[in-house]
Amino acid sequence: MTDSRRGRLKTWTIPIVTALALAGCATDSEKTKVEGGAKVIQSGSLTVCTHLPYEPFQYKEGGDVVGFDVDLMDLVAAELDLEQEIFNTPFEKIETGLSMSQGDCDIAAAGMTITEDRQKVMDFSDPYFDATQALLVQKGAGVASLEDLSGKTLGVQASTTGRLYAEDNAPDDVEIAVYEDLALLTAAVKTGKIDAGINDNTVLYDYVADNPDLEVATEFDTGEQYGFAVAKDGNDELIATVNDVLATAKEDGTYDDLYQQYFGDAPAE
Amino acid sequence: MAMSPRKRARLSRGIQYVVLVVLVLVAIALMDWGRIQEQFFNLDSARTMWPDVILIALKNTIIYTACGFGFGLLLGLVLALMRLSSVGPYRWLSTGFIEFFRGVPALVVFIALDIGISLAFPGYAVPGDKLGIATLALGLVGGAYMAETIRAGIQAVPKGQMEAARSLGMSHTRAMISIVIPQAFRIILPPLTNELILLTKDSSLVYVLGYTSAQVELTAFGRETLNQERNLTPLVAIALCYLLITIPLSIVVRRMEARSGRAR
Amino acid sequence: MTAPKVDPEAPAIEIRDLHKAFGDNEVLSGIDLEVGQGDVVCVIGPSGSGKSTLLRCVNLLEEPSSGDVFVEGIQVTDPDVDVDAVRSRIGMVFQQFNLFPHLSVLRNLTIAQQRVKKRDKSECEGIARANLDKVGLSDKADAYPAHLSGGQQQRVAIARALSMEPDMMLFDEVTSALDPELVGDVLAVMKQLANEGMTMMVVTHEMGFAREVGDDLVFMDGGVIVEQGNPRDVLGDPQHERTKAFLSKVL
Repeated sequence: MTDSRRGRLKTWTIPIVTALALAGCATDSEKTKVEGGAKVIQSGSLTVCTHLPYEPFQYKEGGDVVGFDVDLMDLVAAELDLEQEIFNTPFEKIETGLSMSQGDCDIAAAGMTITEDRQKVMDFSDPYFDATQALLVQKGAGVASLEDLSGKTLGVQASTTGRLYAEDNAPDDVEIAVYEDLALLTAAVKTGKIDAGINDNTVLYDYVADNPDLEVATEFDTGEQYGFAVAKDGNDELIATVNDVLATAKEDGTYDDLYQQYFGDAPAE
Repeated sequence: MAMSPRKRARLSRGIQYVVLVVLVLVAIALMDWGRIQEQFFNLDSARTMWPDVILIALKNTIIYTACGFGFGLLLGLVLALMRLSSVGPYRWLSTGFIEFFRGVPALVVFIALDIGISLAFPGYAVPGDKLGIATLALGLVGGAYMAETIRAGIQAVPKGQMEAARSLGMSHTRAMISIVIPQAFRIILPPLTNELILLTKDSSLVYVLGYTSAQVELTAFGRETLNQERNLTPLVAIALCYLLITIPLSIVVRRMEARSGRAR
Repeated sequence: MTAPKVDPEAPAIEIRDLHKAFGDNEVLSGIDLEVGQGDVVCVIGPSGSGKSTLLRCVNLLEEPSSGDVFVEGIQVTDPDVDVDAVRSRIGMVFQQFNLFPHLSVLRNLTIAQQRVKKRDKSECEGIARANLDKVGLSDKADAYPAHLSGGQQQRVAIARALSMEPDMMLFDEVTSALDPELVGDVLAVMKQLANEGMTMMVVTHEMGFAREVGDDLVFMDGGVIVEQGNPRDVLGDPQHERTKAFLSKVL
């Protein structure tokens, strides 16, 4: 049966035209330049990647996103005459640097610890917060260390340094349960689905303040520091601005005020 | 004394009613209504969601779903035609595509698409920003499902229709476009609408692509507020929003099926 | 793609040594047949004799396994021929009517004119209405096929085929699916067409029609032409045993 050749030609044009249309839309990450030479993906905004919720660094209250990281980023945005725009994305995209290199945001502020592995895929600012890992348990559970969890379940948050610490240091017979975000992890400890949870100390202290039926059993001396991050070799000017803003804030007391607002005490040293 | 089958049936029904009522009463008596109201029907929590839950979240869910469905429908039609083609490679490509995107969880597809495209084509972004890639992801998955429905619809059109069209001198393509496909779509309107309902729920997976407060859809919005309010009322609220979309669609489907059942 | 060039001298249809097999089943085992311009050739035979298949090979709805088919001198079995163009000059009417249910009667008649012959809207409608009038259904132009009786649908189908202004018409058992009281109206239309000089190849069980209107009667059985000739002769004085056996059952 001879198909009219015209018909066959028509069938070919559809895939070809579609391919061309998609290809023709290849964007070359046109970024806008702002003060100090920093580049932003959307003019007028400092687009900040984060993963909600991670109280008190970033969380929703009354419909708005607030937190320690958020306020620090507001300082940076103000310095660049921009408005902060928050982009909520799964944490693994942030800590692998993909969100920044993909152009989803200019900078990541997500209570993120500076590590060697992460430094390979993104550029960090100067450290802006000291933290360490801690253990969350129900009050009176009789757990004081990782060894006490022998034969029990320990919850961790995906893609975090806490998970790495747990996997390296927990006894072999501890079952490790992975949770996508902090809220799910803490809820699991609260309801008793798991025996303990490991995460950064400040967020856990913040949680037990509102949940007196739980407590922080102990801290692990990991000496972590948080940093803000941009795409690797992608935005030196922005990082320079962030470092300047951080230095200024520490000098003129703004940093201490924010710290007190979110963490109660003044920062050590 | 032996009971007639009808009496036995009536007795059985009666017992079932009683059991049902007893179970409901027991559940009502055992439930802690205070906590349930606080957890599921907390008006203060619900109030914080207003009006963003409708103006932003619901709107976005509808937009993502509609765009994904539109793209998926086109893709599904192309795949269906490829499956029916006499050209071997078209058939194999189409079958492979359909099997893959139906066999892999939509969540995996979304994540892989998002990360995969930016890794494989650095500097290139799918046109349309978040809506663009959400449309692409939803459309790929939806299209794979709809392809089979559309193919079945096309094959359900009596062969005589194509023969009559071709005997009038219409080309195969022209006969497809003017005669076969319109009739096929009339046939598959109910199952396609079901696909739309399913896609509405799949739009909740868009969260893995990341979003700003203006791009948030119902499920992500509900989860965010859940974390904020620490009770489940936000989830009840977004569930109601989803039902606002899906129930009317279900009614439409049932009406369509009734009408086509009545027609000759 | 060869633009078909009609040979005015050639017979309307010429079939040479046509064979058609579906898998292992040979349905046509060497058919030679000629239909002259203006002729009405009726094909009769038991079911399974291959008569419908023969008809469908003429406009390539079935592809012959071997042999040749010529329509107005054009070899339609040539792989390079533009089949759609050839088909637009052959009208076909089916046993199951095959009207397009999603289109109105008028649209059924105009859609092919518009899409294939590229006529403008008013021209299409003019021709369509004229043909509807010819088959006695002018008042049904805006109705939908589902609202018509079988006989009306078949007459619309004839009008649809005629609207393409074909050089010949193929009829595939067009009255077999009709209630007996509706058959007469359809046959009347066909008789009128024959009297107007339309070349027709008709597969049918209606012997009365064949006797009245046919120029040539072909009896097929088991994939071959068993007997052929003037209808009155074949029907009145069949020569072959199989012809006699068949006719004794249907007459």
